[in-house]
Amino acid sequence: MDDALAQADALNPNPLREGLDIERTPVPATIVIFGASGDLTFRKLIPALYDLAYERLLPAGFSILGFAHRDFDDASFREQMRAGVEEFSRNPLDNAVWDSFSAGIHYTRGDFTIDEDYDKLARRLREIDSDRGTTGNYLYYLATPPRFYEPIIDGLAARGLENPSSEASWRRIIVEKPFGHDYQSAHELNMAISEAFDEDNVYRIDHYLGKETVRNILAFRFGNGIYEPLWNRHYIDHVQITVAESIGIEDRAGYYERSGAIRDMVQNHLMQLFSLTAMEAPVSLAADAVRDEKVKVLNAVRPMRPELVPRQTVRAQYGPGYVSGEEVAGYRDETGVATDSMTETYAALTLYVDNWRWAGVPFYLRTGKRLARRVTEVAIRFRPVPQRLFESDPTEHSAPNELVLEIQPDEGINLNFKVKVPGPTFDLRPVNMVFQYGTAFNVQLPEAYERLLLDAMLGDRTLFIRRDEVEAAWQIVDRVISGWERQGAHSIPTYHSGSWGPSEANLLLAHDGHEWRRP
Amino acid sequence: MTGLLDANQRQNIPLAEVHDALQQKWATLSSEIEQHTSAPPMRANTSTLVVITDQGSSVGATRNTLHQLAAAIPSRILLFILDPMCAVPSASIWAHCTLTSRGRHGGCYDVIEVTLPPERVAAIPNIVAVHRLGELPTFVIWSGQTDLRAPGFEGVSTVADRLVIDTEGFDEPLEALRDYAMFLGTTGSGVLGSDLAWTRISTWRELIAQSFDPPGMRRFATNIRSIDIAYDESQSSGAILLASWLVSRLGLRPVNATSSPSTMELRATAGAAGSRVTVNLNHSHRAGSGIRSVRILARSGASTARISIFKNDAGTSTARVESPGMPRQERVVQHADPPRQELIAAELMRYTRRRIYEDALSAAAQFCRILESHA
Ligand SMILES: NC(=O)c1ccc[n+]([C@@H]2O[C@H](COP(=O)([O-])OP(=O)(O)OC[C@H]3O[C@@H](n4cnc5c(N)ncnc54)[C@H](OP(=O)(O)O)[C@@H]3O)[C@@H](O)[C@H]2O)c1
Repeated sequence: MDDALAQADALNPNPLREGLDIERTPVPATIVIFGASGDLTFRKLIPALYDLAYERLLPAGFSILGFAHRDFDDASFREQMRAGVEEFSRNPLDNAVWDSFSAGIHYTRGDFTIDEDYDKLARRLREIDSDRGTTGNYLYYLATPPRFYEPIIDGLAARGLENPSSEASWRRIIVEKPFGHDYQSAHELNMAISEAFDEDNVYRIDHYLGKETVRNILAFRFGNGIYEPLWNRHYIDHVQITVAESIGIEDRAGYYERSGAIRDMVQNHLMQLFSLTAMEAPVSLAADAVRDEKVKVLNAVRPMRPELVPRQTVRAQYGPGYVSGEEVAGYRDETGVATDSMTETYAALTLYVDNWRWAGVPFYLRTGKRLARRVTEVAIRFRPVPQRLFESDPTEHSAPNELVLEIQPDEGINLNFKVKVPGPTFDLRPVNMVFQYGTAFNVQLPEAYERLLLDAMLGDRTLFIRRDEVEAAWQIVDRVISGWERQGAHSIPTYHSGSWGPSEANLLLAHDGHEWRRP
Repeated sequence: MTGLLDANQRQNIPLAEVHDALQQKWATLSSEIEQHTSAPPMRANTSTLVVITDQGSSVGATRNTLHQLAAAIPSRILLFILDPMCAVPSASIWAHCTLTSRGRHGGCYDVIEVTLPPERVAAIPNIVAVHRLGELPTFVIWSGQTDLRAPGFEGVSTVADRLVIDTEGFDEPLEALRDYAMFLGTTGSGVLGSDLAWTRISTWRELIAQSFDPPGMRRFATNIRSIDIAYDESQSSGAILLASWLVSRLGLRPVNATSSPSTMELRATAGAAGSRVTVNLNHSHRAGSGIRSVRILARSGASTARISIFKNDAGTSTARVESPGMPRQERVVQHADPPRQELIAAELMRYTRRRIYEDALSAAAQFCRILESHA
């Protein structure tokens, strides 16, 4: 189809779309997965794409081109991906749906560092365009170790593959985490990407943003009139954000030894939860309106001076212990971990936001591996009532109200408040008002990757991290890391596997007269 | 999920005592839950469901559906059974909560089942007013065929925020659609109407709409020449609504309708001098299979596009688009027939006005009137 016709058509709205649950389906495109023989592709990407196809969200003609080292042809790659779908998709493997979906799966063997291999890639893409009508729309997915990001971008750019072939077509790139290992490397990576792709075509992924309940933080805050007036220093005492995992490092020692908890979790997931909780209301839900506010609040975080790092942060490593009744090894005993490793598997920090809304309100962030249980939540602790009317003993401490946004494993909202115990005395006790997604809406929530892949195909960047956002988050984290490096400690606190973390973390809050929640 | 069912259903309670009996039931259940979870239960309700059925249709099946539905969408259910054998209205009540496998407290709901003689249907609005849950939406669901012009229908339906019927169960679906359009147009009470026959065709609508999404296909959407829908009796209403939806979305004006036992032909035009679109509804006798296929032919200038969507046997559909300058686009997607409780659940998620449905309903009503004028 010629360009003029395609453009004219793009302006014509589809009259049958209105009133349907899905606003639009993406135009036919090819997603090129670099690192297609890897774990992420097998466990997440292909199963998510199959689920999208199964649920009618992908257009006919949608195609996948896998690119990696290993020696597959189309047929053997499809076979391999079928096993991934069988094991990891939400929906059952339906033979007819699979046959139709997998007809669009292709594979090209190549090395990211060999120039000529990008010629093969370009040829294959042109073939797919003509066979399947994908009209030059390519979504590149970097599912590779980060050291290959730049060579791949260079390889694409050298063949002109980063430039749309026509006015109506597009070229986009999805970059996986980790995005850099500090501010400088993230900045350099951003520069390298921007040589080839406009920021509008760059989709930096943090799969947390694809989770329904993470997005619900916005709906909850800005779709209800009752919370926002309380959402500030006048009513909120402090905020606790927890991303706890019960698993250890599994077989990722190589990666984890270099990253540690602060790079692996704090820089991305915790910063996302933090910015959604603390940001101002966006003027609209347009991608940049939301991201502008997130960046503003990240920039308002008080820079942590090096001498404050020991007071405002805690790092620790898991020792042996018990998880789900099973005895588990300590971090330094894990395969691939140095016996004198100083890598933290737990990090906690206090952030202050220097703006009108949050002046003086501490945000406590913590994350760790091998903690008591897997849980992600944002807990808002309100200020206590000014007068202790109901306590018979005035020294008795009664816990103030708390609002908990639960993100995993139970997705929901939990408000804790006091009621009178029946009887002649005025005894109060806390009760929970629980709203659980699963019990209020009988719907299967899509996997984060489904949502994100679909959004990228539709060109919606709201749930992807913008360049300035990723850099602002690194600046916060870099200060912590350089503070730790300055400390030059030769030992690191440990905590029992299966506990809620090191006692040092309790002191962090105790300084302020607070204590950690036990989720 | 580990269930914690309060099985001691209480029966034959005079209507005036239902409120207190239910309070008592919740008190007992609460302490039981507190023992298990060390916290008193809190209920996250989403709506009040009012379901009206007559003894003739299978009450047992309706009851089962409602319990499944309520476990998923915590609500209060008021089930009214119109029973000609019943002399004095009475009620039975259930209260139910679930515990999750992690020992946490899951969803709760209760059911008030009222049996009353059909002539007391006018008493229903008051019973609903007493027992509905505060400011949450009230859904009134009519189970089975009912006279949409009867005062009883109107009286009960106006307590609803949303009214749900299923015209698929009606003997004369086209007339039912006309009556329903009239009812919704004249009540003026702000009741929002829906029809499970419409909910059932949502995947068809989605697949048809998607066919016009690719660039190059949009221009064909406004240049459709013919639409052929093959269906059987079990989805007559759905087939008519699907045709009427296309007519209303494409801005066409119904101009003619003819009908024989095996086909119905609807004609519509675009504007005064506009092109004519023919919609053929081909009725097959293969029972129980619903809508089988939709074929659309569109012409823009000298080019022709063909869309065909047909249902395969194993819960999937094949959707095919043939248009000039593009390789043939074909895909197979999931297209199951959702069970009734899923259709109702989908309705319960929606709280906003459904203008698109109302437009389709009004087009169906116009076809009905044209057909009647020929008779
Ligand atoms: N796995 C996850 O759940 C997960 C979650 C979040 C983020 N991520 C991120 O996603 C990215 C990919 O992770 P992964 O777990 O899938 O990694 P992986 O299993 O190690 O896969 C790496 C892929 O890159 C290919 N590859 C490596 N060097 C190559 C070269 N020179 N030329 C061509 N292909 C080459 C490998 O091909 P061969 O195997 O054929 O050599 C393989 O397909 C990483 O950035 C990771 O941090 C992963």
